[in-house]
Amino acid sequence: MNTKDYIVDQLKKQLENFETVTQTEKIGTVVEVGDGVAKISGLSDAMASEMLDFGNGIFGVALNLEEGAVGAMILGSYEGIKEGDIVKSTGKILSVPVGDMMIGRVVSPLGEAIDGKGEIKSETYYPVEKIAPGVITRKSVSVPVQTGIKAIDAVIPVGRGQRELIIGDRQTGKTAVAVDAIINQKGQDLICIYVAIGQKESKIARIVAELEKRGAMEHTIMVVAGASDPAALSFISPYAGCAMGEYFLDKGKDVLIIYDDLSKHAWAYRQISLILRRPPGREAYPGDIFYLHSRLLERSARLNENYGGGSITALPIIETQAGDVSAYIPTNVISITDGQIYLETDLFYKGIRPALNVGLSVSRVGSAAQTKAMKKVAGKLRLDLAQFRELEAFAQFGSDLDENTRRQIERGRRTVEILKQDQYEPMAMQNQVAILYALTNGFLDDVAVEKVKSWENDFHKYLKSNSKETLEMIAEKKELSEEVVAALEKAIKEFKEVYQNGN
Amino acid sequence: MRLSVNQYAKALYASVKDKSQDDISLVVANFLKLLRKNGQMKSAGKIIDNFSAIWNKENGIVEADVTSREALDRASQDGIKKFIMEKYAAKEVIISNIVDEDIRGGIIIRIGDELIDASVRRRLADLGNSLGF
Repeated sequence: MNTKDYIVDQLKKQLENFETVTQTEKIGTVVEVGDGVAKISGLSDAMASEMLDFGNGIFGVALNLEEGAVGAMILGSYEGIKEGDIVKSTGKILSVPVGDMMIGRVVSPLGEAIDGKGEIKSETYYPVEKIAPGVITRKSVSVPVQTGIKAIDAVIPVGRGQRELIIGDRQTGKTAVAVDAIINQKGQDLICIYVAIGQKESKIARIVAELEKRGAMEHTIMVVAGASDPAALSFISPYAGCAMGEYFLDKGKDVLIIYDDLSKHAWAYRQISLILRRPPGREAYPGDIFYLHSRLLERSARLNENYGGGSITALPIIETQAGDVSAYIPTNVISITDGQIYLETDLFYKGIRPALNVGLSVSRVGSAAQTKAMKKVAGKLRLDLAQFRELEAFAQFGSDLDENTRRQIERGRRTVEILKQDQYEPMAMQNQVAILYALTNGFLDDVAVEKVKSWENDFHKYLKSNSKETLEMIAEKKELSEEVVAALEKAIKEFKEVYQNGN
Repeated sequence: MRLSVNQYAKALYASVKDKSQDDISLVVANFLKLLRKNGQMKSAGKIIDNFSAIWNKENGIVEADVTSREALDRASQDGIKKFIMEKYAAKEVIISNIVDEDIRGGIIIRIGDELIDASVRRRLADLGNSLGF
């Protein structure tokens, strides 16, 4: 059979198998449109959060079911929709395509590719709204998420399945913390999903470029609702991102999701609610604004072995206005999450970056997931920092202090110095343990504060070139046994000798 | 208490049901007086729409919009009427014929918020979808 006949044959077969069924459909007519929301009369069988077909490839979601009318938000552009248009119900709950091929892609909240790398085809769809895993399926956190940031991994550890809020004013490095956490997962088993909600497209492009440059897109999905996208897309994007994560959760894998940021998400939902004429409450947010975030964050979980043992870790971000953490949305999200990482403008401008306020930041469950080695050095570190904070005010009267106080202040200064870390430079756990061990055991006390940074850099270089087996030992054993401590102390002492001679 | 448009329509239907011609004109006159007293004259149009919907429902009358490529002849209208009567258990069917060349052929029947699309345009679209266009 030649090719032409083959094609004709195939075509015939396809046409033969084709049959249409004419069936009764429920329809409605648009009676009101405006700002991404439409009111539709008819549609008597519409379900809550059902997809509605406006024709021309535009879809909407039914939100308000009233007597004789349905209030729906329109996903995508609503310019083409006019009064009198016919709307069909689809019988489907809003779902997004999920699967392994999403990894490495930049997608819209509806799962369409927006990175120009071709269409994403998927057989599997997950509903955007899903009830969180129940009590019997869960387990408490036991494995850490290594963010690669010393201050976080040591003092505010995050466990897999935890929800840790990143909160702070604009320009305090909230996104930087999240992006560093993604970069540090390179070559590890954590799949990252970055959900941008109402973010500037330029910022998103910058993040994607940075992740690509550092090879971190290979384990990352970007779900993007830009600042110019309709509020409806911003509203569904975290749920869509979570649905994509749940696919991997069901496969027993570990997922890290970053929601950047939930304040804009609350604004988007407020806009939709007000246009739908739902009654406004405090700060004009609707009554179910708490549930909006609690149902989203509750979907992060660590499942026990009987249910696959996967996990979803959430790092929601909240932007505060002028440091006001007692505003409505920040207090809500603080109460939902298992702790918060608090970033401050003052610290940022003092040059302490990441601008972490170690006193106000907490992790309620993360310490259970810390490795033993880290736990050991972090305990001392926390104590040093707490003492330093109390004495900091006296630091100006340097000369009048007794020896013990002065030593604590000096240690504190070095601790602050060590916890500074440049952006895009996440550090492996074993290196963190090594430097924090050196710090808390007084090996840095005789190094001038200004020199601490370069001392640290040289120390890591030295470990890498001359004492690799020590690092490997820490990484492998994950605890500070006598053997490890001996090797570590030996390496530190050797380095100090070299360093002093070098200067 | 403010009454809704639907409540007015229902009330009107209940008071004119099974009444003679004379009674009805009296009822209607009184009804209009009531509307004016309650300051509801502006919603009269909506009340009339609701009333006719209720009237049709109670009396088994179905209004159908039928879209076709060319004006329907008597025979096809009767056929469609019969189909609708059976499907909706209606006693009477009122057809208003809309001519739309865009549908290419076949018919589209619309009754209330239900739509039966048996047009050629729709079938071609389905065929396109199944072939992956």
